[in-house]
Amino acid sequence: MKVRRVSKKEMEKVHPAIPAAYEQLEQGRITRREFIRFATLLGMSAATATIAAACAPQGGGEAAPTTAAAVEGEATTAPADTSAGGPRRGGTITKSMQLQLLDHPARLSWVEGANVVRQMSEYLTETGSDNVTRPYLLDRWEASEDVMTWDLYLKQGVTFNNGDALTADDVMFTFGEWLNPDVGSSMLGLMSYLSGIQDVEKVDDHHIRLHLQTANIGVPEHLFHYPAVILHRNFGGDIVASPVGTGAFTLQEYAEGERAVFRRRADYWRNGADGQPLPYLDEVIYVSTDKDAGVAALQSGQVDSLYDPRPPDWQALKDVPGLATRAVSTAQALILRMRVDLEPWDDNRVRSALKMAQNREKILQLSYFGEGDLSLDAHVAPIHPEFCEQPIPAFDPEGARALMEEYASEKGIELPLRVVLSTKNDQNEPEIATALKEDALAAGFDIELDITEPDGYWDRWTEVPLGITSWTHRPLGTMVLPLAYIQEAIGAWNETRWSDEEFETLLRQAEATLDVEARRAIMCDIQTIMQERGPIGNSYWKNVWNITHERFQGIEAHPTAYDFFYEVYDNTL
Amino acid sequence: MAAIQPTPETPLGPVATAGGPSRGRRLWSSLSIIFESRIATVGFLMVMFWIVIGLLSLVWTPFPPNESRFVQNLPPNTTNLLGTDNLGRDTLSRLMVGTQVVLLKTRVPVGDRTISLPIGVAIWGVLGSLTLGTFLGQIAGYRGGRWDQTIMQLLDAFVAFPSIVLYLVVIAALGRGDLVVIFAIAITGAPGVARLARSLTLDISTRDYVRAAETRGESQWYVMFREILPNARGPLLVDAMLRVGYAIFAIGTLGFLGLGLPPPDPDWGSMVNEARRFMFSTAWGVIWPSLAISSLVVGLSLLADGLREELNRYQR
Repeated sequence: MKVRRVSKKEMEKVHPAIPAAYEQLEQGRITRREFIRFATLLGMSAATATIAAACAPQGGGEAAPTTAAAVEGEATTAPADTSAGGPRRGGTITKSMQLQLLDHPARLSWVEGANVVRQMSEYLTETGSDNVTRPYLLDRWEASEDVMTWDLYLKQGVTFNNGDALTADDVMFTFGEWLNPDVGSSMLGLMSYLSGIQDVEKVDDHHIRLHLQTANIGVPEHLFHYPAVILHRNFGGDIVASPVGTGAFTLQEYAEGERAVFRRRADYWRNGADGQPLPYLDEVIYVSTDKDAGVAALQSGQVDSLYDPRPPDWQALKDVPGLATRAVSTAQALILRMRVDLEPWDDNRVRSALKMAQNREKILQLSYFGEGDLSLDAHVAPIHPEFCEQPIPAFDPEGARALMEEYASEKGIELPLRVVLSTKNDQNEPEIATALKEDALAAGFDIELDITEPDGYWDRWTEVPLGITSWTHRPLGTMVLPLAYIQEAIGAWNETRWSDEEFETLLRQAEATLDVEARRAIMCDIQTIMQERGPIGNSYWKNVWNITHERFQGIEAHPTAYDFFYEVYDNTL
Repeated sequence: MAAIQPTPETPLGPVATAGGPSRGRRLWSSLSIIFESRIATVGFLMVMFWIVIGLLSLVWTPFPPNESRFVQNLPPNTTNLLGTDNLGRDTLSRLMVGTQVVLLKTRVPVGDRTISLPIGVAIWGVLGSLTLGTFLGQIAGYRGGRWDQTIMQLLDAFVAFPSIVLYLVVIAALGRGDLVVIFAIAITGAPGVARLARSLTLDISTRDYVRAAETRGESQWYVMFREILPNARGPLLVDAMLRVGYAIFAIGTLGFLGLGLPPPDPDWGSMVNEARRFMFSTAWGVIWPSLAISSLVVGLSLLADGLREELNRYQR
C-alpha cells in the first residue's frame, strides 16, 4: 500500500518553522501531539500534520510522558464500541444541565450557555479533548514569523441553517460584535492585541487578516473561547429569537430553567463515516436541573448524561451499571493565593512556608479522591504544550517551621501565626482548606477558615488576604499568566497583586515564541520564579469527567466540559 | 364546678415551709413530676442521653474529631462504629463533639483567644428569648392600654418575618459566632414568649392574691415579678423547653447553610451539609447527624408535653 509522506519542502511552504519542529520530533525532543499542535498552529491542516507526525521515525516519534498525567480523553470505564457496521443514525440524547438566560452569544459567561449555543453555531477553530487546536470553520490559518499578522482562510461550502453561505462578511460582523465595547463580550479583553475592528481586514470572501498590535501565539485558541461562535451577518442580538448558525442542529425550543430541544439539520456541511451529512443523532435535549437532581435522574435512567460532574457525583455514578465514565486531565485548579501587598504574605518566607505545608498527595486524595495530577506551585499544567517538567515539591513541615520561626523572631511574634483562609463552598474548596489547616499547624500556621457560599466569595475574591480561587482550563500555558500575574492586571484579575519584572519579561518572550521547545525553555524559568517567589500554592490539577450512558459512542471528555454531539451515536439502534 | 384557685406555689409542687424538706429533697420532688408522666420520662431519658454523650465528649472521644486518618465515606464498621465522613474523620467522634455546641458550651472570643462558657448556644438563646419575652409580655399584659398596644403590635410586626430570614439578617449584620447565634435565637423567640407571658399575665392579674398585693400598695414591678411571674413560670418553662427544640433546629439550619461553626469543628447541621453532597454514594453521613438532631428535639418535645399534662393535672 502506498503511504503518503509530507516532505520538508511541503512543510516549509506552509510555514518555515515547521521543518525545524519536525526535526525536533525526529530527535524525540517533542511528542507527536506537540508537533501536531505546533504545525496546526502555524497553518498546516490537522490531517497533514497527523500524516507528517506519523512519518517520523519510531525511535524518536513519541517522547516519554512528561508527567503521570492521565491520557487525555482516556475512557476509564467506557466500553469499546463493539457495534458492527459503524455509527447508527437516529435516537435522542438527554442531558441534565442548568439552562440560563440566553441572548447574545458574544456575551456568554457560562459554559452551560455555550454548550447550548454550540449545538447550532460553530467556531473558527476547535481545541479538542487532546488540548490540540485545529481549524474548524477555517480551512487553515497562517501566522507571520513575528506572529503579528494572522491570515484566516474560511472553508468553502459551509452554510447557515437559513440557507446562506458562510463568508468573510459573517466573520467580520462577528469580530465587530466581539470588539464592540457596547456588546460587553469577554472576547474584547481576550483579544486585547486588536485595537479595534480596523485591525481586522477582509481580504476576500473567504480570507480575513488580523493585524495584531502585540505578538500573540494564542489566536487560534482564542477563536475557540466559548463565546466565540460565528454569527450570521444579520444577527439581531438574541440567539433564541433568531437561532441562525452553521451548526448541525437547529433549536426547536428553549425555556430558561426548563429545557432546550434541538433537532438534526438535514443539510449540515460535514459528512459522517457513512458519507451522509452529520449528525447521527436526531435530537438533543437538555433538561435544566440542579446537580443533585441530575445525579438522581442519571441513576434512574431519566437522562443519559450529566454536565460537569463534581467529585461526589463521580463517586455516586462511577460504578452504576450502564454508565461510562471518561476522565481527562485539565489545567483547572483551585489556587491557594496570597496577597503580597499585605502582611504577612508580603514576606516570601511566609509564602514559601505555606507552600511547603501543602501535603499534596493528601490534599488530592481528600478533596478529589486522587483524581488529578500533582502540581508545582506555578500556574502552568502538564497538559500545556510548553509545560516544563520539574520535581513536585515535597511536603516539608519542618522546613516551613524553620522559615516561620525566622520570620516570627524577626517580627517579635509568637507562633502559630493566626491567618484567615477564605474560600467558597462550591466544588471541593472546603476539603482543600480543611486538609491544609490540619497540616499547616505543624508549620506554624493557625488557619481560621472563612467559607461562604460562592457568591459571597466572588464578591471579594480579589480582596481577601489569603484565599482559594478556582481557575478554569486554558489550552496554552501563556494564556492565564497575563491575566493574573502581571502589573497591568492589578485592579482586574491579579488577585495577589504580585508582579515581577523578570517574570513579565520572560512571559512576553514566551507569548511571542512559536517554537514549543524554545517556549518550554522560557517556561522553565517562569515556573522556577513562580515556585521560588511567586504568590500561589497549587496542590493539583483536576480531572474532568464525562459520565454518559454507555450506549452512546463518540463521546469525549473535554477539559472544559464542552459538549460535542455531532459525531455521537446510539449503538443500540 | 368551682375551680380550685392555685396558690403561688402550687404549679411546681408542694408548698415549701420553713424547716421543711432539704433543698435536695425539694429538687427531687420538683423533678419527680417528670417521672409521673410516661411521655415526660421518655423525653427526659432521650435528652439525658445526649447530655451524657456531650459530657463524655469533653473528656473522651474514640478518635480526634478533626483528624483525617481513615478511608473516606466508610459505612459503619468495627473501628468506626458510625462510619467516616468525606474527609476520613470518625463520624461518631464528630457527632459526640457536636452535642457540646447545642447543649454544653458556648465559645466567646476574648481578644485573640476563645473561652468556653458552660451551657450550649441553644439554651442560652432560649434563656435570652424567655427573659426578653417575659419582660415585654408582662408589661403589656399588666399595664395594658397604650403599653399593651405598642408592644404587641411591634412584636406582631416582628413575627411577620420568617424566623430563618431574621437569623440570616442578624448574622449578615453582626457576623458569625456563638454570641450572634444566641442573639438571633433570643430576638426571634422573644415575640412568641411575650404573647404567652401576656396572656398568662392577663389571666393571673385577676386573681385575689394579686388584688391583695395591689391593695397593700406594692409597686407595679413587685406585682409583676413577685406575684404574677412565679405563677406563670410553669407554662413558660414548658414553652421554653419546646423552644430549645426549635433553637436546635435553627442551629442545625444555620450549620446547613454554612453559617454555623467554622470548619473543621463539628456541628450537626454542618455535618448534614457536608455529607449531603455524598448522599448518593453513602447516606450514612446524613443519617447520623439528622437522627441526632431529631432525637434531641423529639426528646425535648416529649418532655415538654409530659410536663404540660402533669401541670394541667395539678392545676385541675
